[in-house]
Amino acid sequence: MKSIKNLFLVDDDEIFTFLTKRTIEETQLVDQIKIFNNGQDAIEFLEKAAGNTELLPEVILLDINMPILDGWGFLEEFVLLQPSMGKRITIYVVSTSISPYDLERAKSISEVSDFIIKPITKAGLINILGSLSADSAQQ
Amino acid sequence: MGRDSDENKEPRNLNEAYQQALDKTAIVGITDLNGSIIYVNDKFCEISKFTREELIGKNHNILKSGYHTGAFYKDLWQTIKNGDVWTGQIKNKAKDGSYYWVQTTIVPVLDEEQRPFQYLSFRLDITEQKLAEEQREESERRLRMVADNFPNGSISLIDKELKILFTAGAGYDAVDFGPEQVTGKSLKDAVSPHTIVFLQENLSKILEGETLTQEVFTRNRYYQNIYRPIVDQLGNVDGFVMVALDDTENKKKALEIKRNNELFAIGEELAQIGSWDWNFETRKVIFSSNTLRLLGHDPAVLERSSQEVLDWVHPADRKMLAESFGKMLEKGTFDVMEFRMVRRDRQVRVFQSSSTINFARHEQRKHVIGVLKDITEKRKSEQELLESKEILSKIADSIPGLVMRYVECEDGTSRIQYVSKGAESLWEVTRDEIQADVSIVWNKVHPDDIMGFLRSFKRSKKSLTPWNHEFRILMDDGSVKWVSVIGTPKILAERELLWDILALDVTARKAAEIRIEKNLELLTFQNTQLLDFCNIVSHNLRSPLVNMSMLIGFIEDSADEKERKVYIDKLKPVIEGLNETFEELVESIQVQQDREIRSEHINIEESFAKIVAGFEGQITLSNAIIEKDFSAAPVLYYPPKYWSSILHNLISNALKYRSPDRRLNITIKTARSQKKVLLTVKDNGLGIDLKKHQSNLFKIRKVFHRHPDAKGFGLFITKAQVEAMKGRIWVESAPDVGSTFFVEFINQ
Repeated sequence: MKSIKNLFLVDDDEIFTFLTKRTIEETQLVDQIKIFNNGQDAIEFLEKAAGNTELLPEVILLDINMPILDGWGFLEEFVLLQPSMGKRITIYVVSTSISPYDLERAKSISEVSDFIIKPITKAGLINILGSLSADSAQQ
Repeated sequence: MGRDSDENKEPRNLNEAYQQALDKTAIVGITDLNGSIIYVNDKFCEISKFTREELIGKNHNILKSGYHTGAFYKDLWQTIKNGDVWTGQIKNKAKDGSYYWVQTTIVPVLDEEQRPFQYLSFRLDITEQKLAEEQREESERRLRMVADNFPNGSISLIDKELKILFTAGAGYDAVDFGPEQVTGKSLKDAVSPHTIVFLQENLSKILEGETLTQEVFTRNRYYQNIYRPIVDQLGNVDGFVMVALDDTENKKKALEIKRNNELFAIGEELAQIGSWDWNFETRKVIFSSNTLRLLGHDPAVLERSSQEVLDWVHPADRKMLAESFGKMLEKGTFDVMEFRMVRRDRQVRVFQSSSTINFARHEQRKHVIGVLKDITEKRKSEQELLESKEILSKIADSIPGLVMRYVECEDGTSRIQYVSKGAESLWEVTRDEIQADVSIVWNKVHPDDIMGFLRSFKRSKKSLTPWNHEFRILMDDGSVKWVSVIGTPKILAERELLWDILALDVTARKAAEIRIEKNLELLTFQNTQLLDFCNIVSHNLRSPLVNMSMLIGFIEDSADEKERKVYIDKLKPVIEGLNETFEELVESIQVQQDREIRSEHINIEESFAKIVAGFEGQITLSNAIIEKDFSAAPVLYYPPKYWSSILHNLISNALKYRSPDRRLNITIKTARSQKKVLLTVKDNGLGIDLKKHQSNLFKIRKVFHRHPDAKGFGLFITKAQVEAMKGRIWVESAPDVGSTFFVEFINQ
């Protein structure tokens, strides 16, 4: 029994999502991985799944640079949605950005647990997901 | 009588003797009832100087002097007709016209029925006595006349018991009683208690022969009383003469003079003024004590020799002073002199003296009187003021700008009080020109700045707060200077405003400011570009690199050849994408760097037609309506390549993001305002949620629609092409309503 049931990968970069999905699967820490190509799709899913803990993710890996609704836009809407979620959702910003402005901005949003600069390695993933699954095991 | 002597023989001798004696002493006459003379004796004839023959048978009134009144005679006749005896004094006239007085007794002679039938008169000559009496009365009348007219007081005769025997004088006019009311009364009833007290103390001295005087103030009048004893030939004193001189007017004048002198002295002291009187004949100068105090000499010694006074004058001023005096004496004109005096303590003070010849003293041009004022401090402060004015004026003149003080009157006129030298080089007008009319200064304000200038000036004038403003002035040669002005308004008098103006040439500073502003603008622009570049590197360049490194990692880790093939196949589009992005960036950087690209005059209509031709297929496919109006600005001065790209991208976007629910309508217009041309591209397409996307709208690789062709490059390069030429691009949009893009081109 894996401790993380649902993980959302919100990123428009198909290569990145493909490779990251594979890496996560190799860790065997996550049951289900859902991929969204932009923030808008992810938000719309969350809105529909509000209160349904089976469908809601424990963790979201969020890209910044996306079409339609980017990571920042997603976070703005997520802040409003969170109280109706009924589940604790941990968000990691995963971006290619090395801009200190982006880092600062991410840190200023309390819903963001950390800012991870791509590429993301298998060891790094295990580190993050491992600590998360430990948290949920304690709960 | 005759009948008596005829009938009584016996006592005849006695009768005769009696008659004889009577005739020798008295004037005897007999008249009848009508007054006709029947008998007169010798004495009658002697005194009346008539003969007996002349008198007998004549009426007695032949002797009437006219002295007595009708009533006097009526009374006389009434008495004797009644048979009574009348006595009295009668003045008669003698034949020669001389008068004589007689003491008269008229006895009526009665008949048997006791009725008078004759009147017998006996008279005694009292003429001598009467004359003496008349003389005495006359002299007393004269004395009283003199005494009554005794001026300024009274003269009285008082006896030892202080009884008023006689008193008179014009002084009684000033009191509410007359001399007749007090004559015969005690002095106590007529004079003041002071006088009585004085006399009680001093009467013995007066009676011993001493003459005393006393000053008395009574009934609001001043008197000088003189008591002089009356001494008879034997040396006995039985009374005294009291002369009361009314001194009120003199006393009042004296008091007034005294008071005036006191006031004058106080005035002199308060005003720090001294007065002097220089007599050239006696060679004496009389000072007021305050003058001497001012001059620093003993204030008690008022009279000084002119030589001493001349010695006080500062040696350098003596000649001038002497000459001034000489001229004044010659011309007799009023003059003001200024000279220095040396005080006793050797201190030198400056004095101003106003003087005039004193004609009132009938010693023409012998007297000069004047007043003196110590003006040392005044001169000193005047000197200091003059010096500080000079210093201020020197400082003001050394300021490279306009320093000006002027009074603005309500009627719009102005009085220049001061204008500095620096005004001439800054404003390029002479000081005389400014003096003549201050508006020459304000008339040089640059026409473009005049509104702001007037606004700020009026605001300051209204609120009386300092006026701070910067504006340009336009020189005659067309050059422009920047001026910074500080003005302070102050209410001087009713409806008069005092302005202190300082205006400095800040052209150099302004130029530097404008340079800095431009540099700042450029820096901001470049900074934004750098930030954009950082974003581009972060997202658009690092993304493919990350993917490549991850793929390489997977390839390395994979043992399965088939799997490796999958990863290698994925590398290819990543590299192609990177290449594409790279080329786009190069293009945008070229636009940014290509500052020197040549602008040309573009016929908008023609270029628009060409671009639209390129979209022919899409327009036909989407059945779009394109409306255009370039009449307001048919020509654009711009790099043709950029213009085509901008218009192409905006039309392309409008076509690409059209709404599937309605027929696309695109309106393209140009408008002109001053030196700018505004391009408007309006559509009724999908629109953009500006709340979400405003900040990313013109950034590379930002797409806002789920459109397969959305690449996020068109607006990015459009913005670069607009901003490269200092223009602006912005958008108004509402989701599902449409978008309007605005592009502003400058320097047209």
